[in-house]
Amino acid sequence: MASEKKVVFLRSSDGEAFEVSEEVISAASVTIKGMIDEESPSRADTAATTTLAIPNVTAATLSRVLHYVNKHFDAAAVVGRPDDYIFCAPGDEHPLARFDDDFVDVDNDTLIDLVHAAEYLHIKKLFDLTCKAVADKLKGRTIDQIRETFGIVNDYTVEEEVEVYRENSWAF
Amino acid sequence: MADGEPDRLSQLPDEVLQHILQLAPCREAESTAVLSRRWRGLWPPATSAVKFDIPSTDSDKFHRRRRDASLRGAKEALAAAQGPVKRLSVHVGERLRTSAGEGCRFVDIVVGDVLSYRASRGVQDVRVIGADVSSSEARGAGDSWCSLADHRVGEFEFSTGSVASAALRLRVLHITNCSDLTPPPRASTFPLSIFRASRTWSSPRRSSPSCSLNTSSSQVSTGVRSSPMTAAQWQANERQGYYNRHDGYYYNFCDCEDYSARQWELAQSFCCPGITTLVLLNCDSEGGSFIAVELDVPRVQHFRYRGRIDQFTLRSPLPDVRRVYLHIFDSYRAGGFHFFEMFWNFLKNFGNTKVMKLKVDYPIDYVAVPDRVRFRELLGETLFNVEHLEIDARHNHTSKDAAVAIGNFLQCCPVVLDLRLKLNTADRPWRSRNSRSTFVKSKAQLEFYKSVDHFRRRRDRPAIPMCGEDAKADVVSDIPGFSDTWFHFRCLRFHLRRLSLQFQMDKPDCVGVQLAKFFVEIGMALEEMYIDDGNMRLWEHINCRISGYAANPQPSSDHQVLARMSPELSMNQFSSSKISGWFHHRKLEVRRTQSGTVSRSFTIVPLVDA
Repeated sequence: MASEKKVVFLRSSDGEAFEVSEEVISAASVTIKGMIDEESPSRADTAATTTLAIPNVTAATLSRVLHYVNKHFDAAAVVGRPDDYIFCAPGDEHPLARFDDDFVDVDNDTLIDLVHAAEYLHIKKLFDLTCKAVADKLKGRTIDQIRETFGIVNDYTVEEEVEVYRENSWAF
Repeated sequence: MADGEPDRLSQLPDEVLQHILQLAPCREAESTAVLSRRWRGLWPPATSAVKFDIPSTDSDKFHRRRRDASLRGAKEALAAAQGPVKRLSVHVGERLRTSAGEGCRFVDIVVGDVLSYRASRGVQDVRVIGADVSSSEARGAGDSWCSLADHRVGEFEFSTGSVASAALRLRVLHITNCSDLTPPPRASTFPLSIFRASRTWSSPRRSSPSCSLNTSSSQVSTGVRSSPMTAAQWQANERQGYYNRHDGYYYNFCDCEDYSARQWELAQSFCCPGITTLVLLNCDSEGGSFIAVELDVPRVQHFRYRGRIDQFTLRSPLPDVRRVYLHIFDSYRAGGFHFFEMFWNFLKNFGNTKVMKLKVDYPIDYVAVPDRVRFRELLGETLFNVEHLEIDARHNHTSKDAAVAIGNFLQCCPVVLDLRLKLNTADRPWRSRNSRSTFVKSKAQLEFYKSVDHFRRRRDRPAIPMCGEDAKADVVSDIPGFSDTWFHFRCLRFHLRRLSLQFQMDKPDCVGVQLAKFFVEIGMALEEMYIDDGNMRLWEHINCRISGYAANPQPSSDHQVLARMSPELSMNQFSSSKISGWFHHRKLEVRRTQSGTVSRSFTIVPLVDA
């Protein structure tokens, strides 16, 4: 099987190409699967490999995404049940839980890039994972801390702010 | 961050942010609305929140018709909703009271019915908001106990048993302006034994003669076991009109000899092992009968409370508690016999918390414990985890006990990093409603705007020369209570990083000034200081180039002292070497304070050093 494995190239927004198994990336990303399906009639008769442009994702992010995809969607690499590990109890740790923890242990900009990429590429598991990581960064923080963490600028006027505080008073 | 360019997170599309908020805890998700305009209305998603009204009418006869109309309205609202409904808000109209004096009793039935609809299967959050029928003057004063003044609030009754069918999936139950709240019966036939929302206790029935018999039924202790839940919130806003500020408010209780017996007469228990957020605001009873609630909420992390300190006891300790916001207004017993004991014993409950915000509506002098041994017995260093301490209180400027009380606080919080003190000498809260305070406030507002104007055009103004030559105030005067040798102030010396001090400088040597000087002198680790002496005439001191010599014992460049002081304060009181060294900061923050609760930095502009 390995010998006849098809590969595709993904070209990032800054022009770098990454090689990935077609089977793996199709399983992972709905968007790329769609692209490959569109391409397939034209490439059935040619032996050349396809290069797909991923205009919204930079090379740095794309390489991370592919690292994740290869870990999670390569049937040979995955052990155990891959689907419900994100919400598994702390006790019965999925083999990839550690990997996931490290994977999202990055700075905020990288993490948000990953959210963007996961959304664009339609990789649900990665999307959930990264969103959960962002949500965890909100957890237990005050408004000021959240603003500081993500560099959010408060653009309310004082009157508006008082009003919003009143509306959401129970959360404070 | 460049101007106008939103941050990376805010640039994400709505759906993505909503997905993130869905994964975040309820409380944080809810609070993000305050972040910026971008975040307002994001959570809960508009399509998933359904509102309907229970309309007002005057006549008793239309009860049944109104109930049907409410159900119809709810059905329509649910049908119009796109996507799964997560939140249900019910607004209850005014004038629902029957001629017999009973509140509207079908609200809970309607809510229960609506929750049983197929369309509301996904509802996790129920809010029942009664009309605020309080008098308009009291309405504005939500933060002080005068909001409990003589008016009726709420005209509906709510029995939590009716939402039992939805109990399994409810995460948040939010009830406001309810005149009578009935907890579910203890009978285990109810699925409520695994209610995931908050639980509460019943209030005694209204003391109108027609209902007085029911009081006995609410004496039954009700305990509800609940399964673990992520967040639940209880806001029973029962501001009922017994305490009249004109009559013997302060005495009606003290005259009663067997108050401890009465105190427990209506004891309820509130047991919810899974609850993590508990908010109890103005849960009050009527007719001078005191509800004491026994709380059994061992996993609570956020606790917010507004009320008297004798209103509840804790059955189990709170090992997980992280944030405690307390607003205490039981002035009727303040200053009374052994009041301070009650107060400190009350605080002891929250020993594990990291953040404590405390607002007391009576002079803080009342809780002072000047005697060292007595204090040790009472408290010791019980609040050993508190890193952020905020105290908002009044003090008598004639009495020296305020400083002692603050000393007590600092003594029992050995690792406090961030200290905010807000002291005012204002009169009783209910008097602050009068026109004079409005005048003062608007005057301050005007002065603030004028200052802002000056600040914008500050380059046009010559700098006021201001030298720290006047050394006569260099010596820190003894603060009674602080000078006592038994305070070691470990927290101040080695831990305190940020200090915010707000007070009214009514005389040059008031407690606030003394405290400020004291903190400057003793705080070795102090990095940031914010002093607000209540003077809004910022323009007088906003452009001061303060010359001085850097005699800071820790002359590291990251020291910044954000200070807002009037020239007379900074000149006369802070010519000490330390503070003038600190004035070589690069930033001056103008902070605008609104209504005591929301303060927001106005702008940060680098000062050009002379």
